[in-house]
Amino acid sequence: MKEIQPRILAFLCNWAGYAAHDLAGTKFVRLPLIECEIRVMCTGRVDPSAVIEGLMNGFDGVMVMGCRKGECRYENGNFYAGKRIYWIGKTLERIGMNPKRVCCNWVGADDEETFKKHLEEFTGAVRPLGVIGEAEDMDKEEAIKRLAALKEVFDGERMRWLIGKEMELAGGADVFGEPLSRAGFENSVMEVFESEYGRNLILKGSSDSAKSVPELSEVTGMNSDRVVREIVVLKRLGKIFMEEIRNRVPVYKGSTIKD
Amino acid sequence: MSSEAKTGVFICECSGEVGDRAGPGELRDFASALQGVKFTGRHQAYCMPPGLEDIKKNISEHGLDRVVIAGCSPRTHETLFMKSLAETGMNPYMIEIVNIRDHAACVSGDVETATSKAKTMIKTGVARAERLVPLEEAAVKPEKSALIIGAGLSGLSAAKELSKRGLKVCVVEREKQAGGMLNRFYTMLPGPHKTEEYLNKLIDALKKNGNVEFLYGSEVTSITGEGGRYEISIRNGNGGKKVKAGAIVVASGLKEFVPSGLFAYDGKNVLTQSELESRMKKGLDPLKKTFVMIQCAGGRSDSIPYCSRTCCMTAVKNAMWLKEQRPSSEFYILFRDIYTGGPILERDLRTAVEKGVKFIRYEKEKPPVVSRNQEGAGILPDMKIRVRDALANAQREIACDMVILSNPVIPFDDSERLASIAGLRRDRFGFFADHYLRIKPSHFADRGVFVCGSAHFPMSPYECEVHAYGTASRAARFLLADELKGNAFYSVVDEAKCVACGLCEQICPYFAIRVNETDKGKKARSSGVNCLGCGTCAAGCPMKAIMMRHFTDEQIEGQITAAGI
Repeated sequence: MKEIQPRILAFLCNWAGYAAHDLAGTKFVRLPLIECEIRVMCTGRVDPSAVIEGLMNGFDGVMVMGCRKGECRYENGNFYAGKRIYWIGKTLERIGMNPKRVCCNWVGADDEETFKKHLEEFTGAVRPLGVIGEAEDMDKEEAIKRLAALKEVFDGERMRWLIGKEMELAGGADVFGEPLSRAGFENSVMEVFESEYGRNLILKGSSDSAKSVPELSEVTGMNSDRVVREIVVLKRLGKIFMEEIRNRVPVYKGSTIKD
Repeated sequence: MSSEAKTGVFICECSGEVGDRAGPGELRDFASALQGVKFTGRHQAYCMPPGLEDIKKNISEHGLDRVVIAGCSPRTHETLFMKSLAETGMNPYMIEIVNIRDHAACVSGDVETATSKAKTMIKTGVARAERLVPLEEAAVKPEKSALIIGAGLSGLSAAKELSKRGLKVCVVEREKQAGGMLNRFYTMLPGPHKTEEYLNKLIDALKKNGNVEFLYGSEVTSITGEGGRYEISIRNGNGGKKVKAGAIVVASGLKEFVPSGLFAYDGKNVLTQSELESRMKKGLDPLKKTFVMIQCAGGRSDSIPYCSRTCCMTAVKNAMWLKEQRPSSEFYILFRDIYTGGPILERDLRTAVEKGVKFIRYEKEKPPVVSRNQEGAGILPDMKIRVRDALANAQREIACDMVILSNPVIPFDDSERLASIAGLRRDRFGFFADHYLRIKPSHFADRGVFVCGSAHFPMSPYECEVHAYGTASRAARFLLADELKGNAFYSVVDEAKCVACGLCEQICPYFAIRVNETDKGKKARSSGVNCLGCGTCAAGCPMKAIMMRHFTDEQIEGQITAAGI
């Protein structure tokens, strides 16, 4: 793989990230290139699916930069942003992408030096990875397919709910009052992720043309047992249906990605 | 949508700052070729009056309906350009400013990089502008009435101030009578007034004023609505009641910590300052001659680490009073540190020393030990206190008739419930905390909720009054406004998608979004007046039912797609 000029997408909060970038401009600080900045009022607005959308649109790294911890203009927006980016990193790793492609940094509005430092560090980390998909030994189509399935996971209610409830659940007790450790919480999130991701891969694989279980197993890389299990759930949710029986084998077609 | 958009791109050269570094001519050609762009302008400085005139002229000439300004920071210049847009009759929110000055021209190093970066920025700006929708600021006409929780001195003082301004006031009190903590005390602090007289005067004045309604034996069970129009459910002996109010003043006060198990406390011979005061009212046993007061009895300890602020002053006040009544009596105040802030109280402390009140300092590690003589032994005085005098470094033994404990104050039991109802945050001790201590002191999460008096932190009666007056005048300013303005960008809940899971309620630090009972079942509703527009709820909603105006998913995705390859 070759070193590239990385294409960086940055979500900057109006009060710190964006302000620090403004200040860097006013002071004529030479900065590594950010391909695209998106101004949001608070990093809390950064939807996990927007971050993945960025990776799908050919950005090599996505950075979220907001107020320092405890200094969020809106009290806890940066906290939630941090959680979301953390889980995106975790799941990116699981689908075979480099988790270094997303990061979350905190900066003060008056602190263009730190802004520059974080930006240089991030660009430095992304540069050796190369174009998305390349470092991960997969072709672009495969990478986009996986990212699209990942985006659906983060658009889905189960994952979003778990991330939102993290503060309450991790280290506290679950909904039945049973103690739930941090590790236990992480395990359950990853479990939910696995099943949701698998389902989305099946839906994506069968959205164009109906496929049989062995075919789906090949497309998604999951064993046929699991494919059958997920198809049962998806059928119950009304997201997939059996189109016909082709040569004594039932073929399934995803109705829609979204319900 | 994109075919209908008539976007005008205005490239500002910033008097050479951009012009010399990013090839504005090239940018102009680039922008003109973008889809939906009807006009592209270039000017030395659009923020100067000729520039603004130029924008206005071109908007009306070309019939533009959205504007992209490629210049400097929206943080500094957005309001200026929005004003110009509004002057032409356009919706001021149909503007997108891309900061090609600070984000491209001044940080890129060479013209080529800067120009290509500025191009991407203009492209994303145009993409976002295409997806902008006209917005209006949220506005509410406030109800001209206030609800006050707690009829203590703070609540009553706030009621007095608000009713004077012609506002309807409803005071909710849990107890059967007004007065709160003052009912437990005999004299005011500072000053010679008797609490009873003082309170009666205040309550009589309020009763004469027809604007105040008292609800005794009542509790607030829920608050719905938003700043300017709240609906409060109140529970009392005869069922319930619903009250409408524009603002809520929380003056719920605090309670005393009962020092049971400390310094042989029994409520008879070892008692608290408030118990002493109620005896002072009835008349004190004339046989008692030697009094010992122990400061920080339970306070500034590991479990109650803060200073209760009023106990030293109360101790000095009571010592002076007793000394006046019985000049022959002996007085000891065992203290760790004495805080009698303010000119009056500091003078009282000096006078107390002059009058012969003895102050002995003890250390936290070596607290005084109270021991009692055997009952019926007939020895008077019947208690003994051993204390290590930290300043003289000597062990002292004092025989005394009465021990008075200066017990600390703690938040009342119900404060957690009230906090969750009224949208307040509690500090680590349980008092209602400012939302932002440094930037916005005495502001709370919900715009229409104000806290005054000891519910905020322990205060003396005098401070409570002052604080209540201040809070009341802020609440009055809020209520007397013709219209309460909010942001134009606030979250909106799509009720068809909402499943009322309550996650948004938990995420929102401003209590702007709450799950309410509606005609379609339980649904989250966002308040435009209270919402400050961070959008954390929108990015967290499991059903993606919340739309953050001006920063919608569609707009952000449009920007990403435009900049992507």
